Order: sequence, then structure tokens, then C-alpha cells
Amino acid sequence: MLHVVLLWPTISGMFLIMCAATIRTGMGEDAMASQPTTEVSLDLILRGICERLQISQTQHDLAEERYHAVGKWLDAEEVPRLLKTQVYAQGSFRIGTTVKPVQRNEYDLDLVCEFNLQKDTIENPVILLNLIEARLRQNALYADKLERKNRCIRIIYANEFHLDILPACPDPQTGPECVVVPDREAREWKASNPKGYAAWFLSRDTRPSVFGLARVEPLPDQETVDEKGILKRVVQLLKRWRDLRYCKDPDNAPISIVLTTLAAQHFVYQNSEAAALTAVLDGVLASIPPFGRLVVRNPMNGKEDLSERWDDAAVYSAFVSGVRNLHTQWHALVQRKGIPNITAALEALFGEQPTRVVAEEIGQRIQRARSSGVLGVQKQTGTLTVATAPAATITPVRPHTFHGK
Amino acid sequence: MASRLRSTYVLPLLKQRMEMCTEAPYLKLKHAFKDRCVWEGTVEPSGLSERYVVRITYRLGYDPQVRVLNPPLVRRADRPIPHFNGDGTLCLYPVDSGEWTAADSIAYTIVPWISDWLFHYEVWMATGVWHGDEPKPT
Repeated sequence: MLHVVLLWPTISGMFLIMCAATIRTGMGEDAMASQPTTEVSLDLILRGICERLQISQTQHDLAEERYHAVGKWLDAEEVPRLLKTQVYAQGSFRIGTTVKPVQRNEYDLDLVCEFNLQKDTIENPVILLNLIEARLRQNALYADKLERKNRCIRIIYANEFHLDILPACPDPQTGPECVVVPDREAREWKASNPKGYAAWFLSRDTRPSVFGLARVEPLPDQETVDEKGILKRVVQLLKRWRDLRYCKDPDNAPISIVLTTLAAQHFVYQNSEAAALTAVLDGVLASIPPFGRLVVRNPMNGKEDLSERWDDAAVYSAFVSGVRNLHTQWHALVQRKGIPNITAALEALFGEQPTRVVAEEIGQRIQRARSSGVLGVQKQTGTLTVATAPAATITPVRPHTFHGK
Repeated sequence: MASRLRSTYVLPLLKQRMEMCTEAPYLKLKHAFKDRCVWEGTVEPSGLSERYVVRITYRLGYDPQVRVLNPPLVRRADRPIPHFNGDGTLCLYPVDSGEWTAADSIAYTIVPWISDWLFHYEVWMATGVWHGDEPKPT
């Protein structure tokens, strides 16, 4: 199965001496550190794919810089006190589940601009959109980058990302940190709770993931994939699958917050991305009701139906058939044997480019382990294992050169 | 392929057999003659890999021959399998290079090299690139 085998260093004593006449181990005595050993596994590949889906550190820093600048501008001293706002990130940027877009270059980053106003004092929520827009237009940096959307003001940084700024007002009657935001047509208020949602999501998987094989090249990331919990990686994989599956049908694609919520609701902690994804997909499939539609609410504000788009039967059925298909493909994938077969299935689900890069990286990793003398095979199965300490159950792979064309 | 190896010491066949028993029990002795042994068994080079049935044929003092019996190895559309002889044996080391001599234990050399070969073969199938050690270009 898909697992990491932990083998603690053993003093290779009597057993090895008995048959050691011709042993030349590649492992020096100094390598007797108490490091666990690792085998190639599906988790190793999934983790590698997630690394490739990450927003880069540069992009992350740039986005953060820009969003702070926007926040400062909206909340500058010259702004009348009544219109003071608090700007904060919401969505994937806040919870660390961004993935690279498939066909365009621009990431979506969502910001909330929370006014300190009673919602009842505002006749029409569209006023808040006007206020944000007017304030941004006063700054030459933003004036030519603005686009007005139904529910937000968008600042477009070509080829980098766009910042969607969503106005909100506090709604303390519903719950702490609850807000209301203008709805799609900006005629009514809609319940939400971005801060509470993020806290809930992060609380669903608080365990740091433990993985034996240290990453070879640390990727410059805001939060390395190793630091990310398993749930975040499961969400990244689901979003990536969504981006590919619905790339020709984007209007019917399940939205990120729905996928994120479903994943967090059905997540069961296991130190394995593959097992966690299986649990999530099984859980999602089991939760689809025989009649009517699945309702996914904001767990921190029951008034917010995150899945309201599924009122449209066509959108909902596109989700159901998509997730059923993913469930089938995934279960077939975990049963597959052979790296070429598995990577082909992964390419179909998560894209050719990241999968191929990761397959090559794993080939290089094993080669490097060989040349640094830490590669061995399990004596019972012949399975390659990276072991930084000698173990009685492992035969080291002595240096050799594959030859012939 | 099976050139006679010049070696001051030839590890006795009985010793090879004993070490195969203890170090690679998944490879079973299939035939044993006075100067020749055949082992067969199933290797799983990684947790993601196919299970390969392999055969090692060893004539005392000669280069061991390794074949994959099942599943059949396949070439990529554009290229033949790397490090693979025309007679269906794997090239695990350059013959006469001294990387393997008849003084060496098959269980400690050939056996782990088979896993290494099969793993790199699978990665090559998936990516088109062979990552295992290859002779340095001269």
C-alpha cells in the first residue's frame, strides 16, 4: 500500500557478520544518524505535484505587498472617519490553498473591505461598491486598472493577478465575525463570514505532516508544501482537477470554496495525501442526496449557502457527474501498478506538466540516493528504499554503471 | 556477453546459493547444477511499481545473465529500451569493467542492481529520461 516505512537503525551485528565475507556496504558508519527510511510512494508524487501548483514566493510577496498597499489607501487618514474600513484577505490566499491557473496567467486574490457601518443605514449596498471604486480612482496607480464586477471591484495587474475587493458590513446579530456582503445583483445583502471560515478550515487539520525523505531542492515558497497540512494539499489537488476537468465549461465548474468546504468536512486525519483524498471523495459521494441537491453551508454562518449556484440544475449535475467520475478514476488509480501507468492516470487528473516533472524528480532522487550511498533494497521484496542508516533488513545498492545503449 | 572473468578468486557456487537464500529470499533457486544456478522470483522495485518476474542465470566464473520474464518489457514509441541487450538481458554493469567480478556475491550486487534497473526503466517509460548512473561520456 501507499505508505512510508519507518525503520530504525539497527546495529548490523551477528547476522551481517555471518555472511559478510564479500559485503561492501556503501553506507559509512557516520551515516548512523537516526533518520527514518523512505520508499517511493503515491504520497511522494502527490506532494511533488502540489509543490508545482504553488504560487511562488515572489508572486506571494508581490500580492501581499499590493494588498497591503490597497488596504492602506482605502483606509488612509484623509478618508472620512465614517467610511473607515478594514481590508483583509479571504479565500485561498488566506488559508494557503492557491493553485496556479491552468490557462491564464492571472491568479484571483480575494480581499474583503469591511466598512464599520450598520447595514440598515445603507439604502442600497451598491453604494459601497461605488465608494470603493471612487476611492481607488483617486489613485493613479489603480485608476486604469479597475473593473467593476457584480459583487466586487477588481484591480487587474496584467499577467500577475487580480485583486477582487468585496465590500462588507459587520453583522454581529448573526454571530461573531459574521458580515453581510452585497449579493450578485447588488440589491440585497448576503450573509458571510470569511474570517470565521478561514479559522474553521485551519482548525480541521492542525497537524504538521511528517515525511521522511527531505526535499531535495527547497522551493521558495511562502509556506512549503511540507509545512502545509495534508488537508491543504488535498484541496489543492481538487482545485487543480476542477480547473482541468471544467476548462471548457468554466461556468459549470464547482467553485473553490465549495470544494474546500467539502474537503474539510470529510477530511479524516491520516498521514497520507492519497488516503485523505480517498476519504474525502468517498465522503462527498456518500453525501450526495438521492433527491434534491447537496447544500454546502458556511460552517461559521449557516445563513450562507456556499453552493447556491447549484440551484441551477445544470450546474449541479455537472458537479455530480464530475465528482462521480473523479471518484471512479481515483479508486482505479490507487489500484494501479507501474510508474508509467500511475503517472498517466495522474496526468489525466492533475495535468501532464506537474506530473512529469515530479516523475523525473523522483528518478533523480533515487539516483542521488544511489550515488550518495543511501539507497538499498528490502531483502524480502527487492523494493528500493532510501535508508540513511544501515539496517539488517536492507541490502545497500553498490555503485554500478548501467551500460549499453 | 558471458565472457569469462579473470579473477584471482571465484566465490564458490554454494556460497552464492547460501547468500541468495538469506539476502534475497524472494528469488528462489530454480535449477542447480555443478557449475550453474538459475534463480527466479518476483521483484517489486518500488511501492508503485509492477511486480516483475525475473530470472538470474549464473555459470560459475561468468557474468550473470538477468532476464525479465513477465510482464514483457516494452519500448517507447520512439526509442528502444536503454541498457538492454539484444538477447533480452539487462545491462547492469559494463562487462570487464571490474564493477562485478566472480569474487562478488550476486545477492549483494546483481540483485539490488536489478531493482535499480527496473525502477529506472519505469521512470524512463513515464518520462523518456533514464536517470540511473551511466558511463561518463568520453
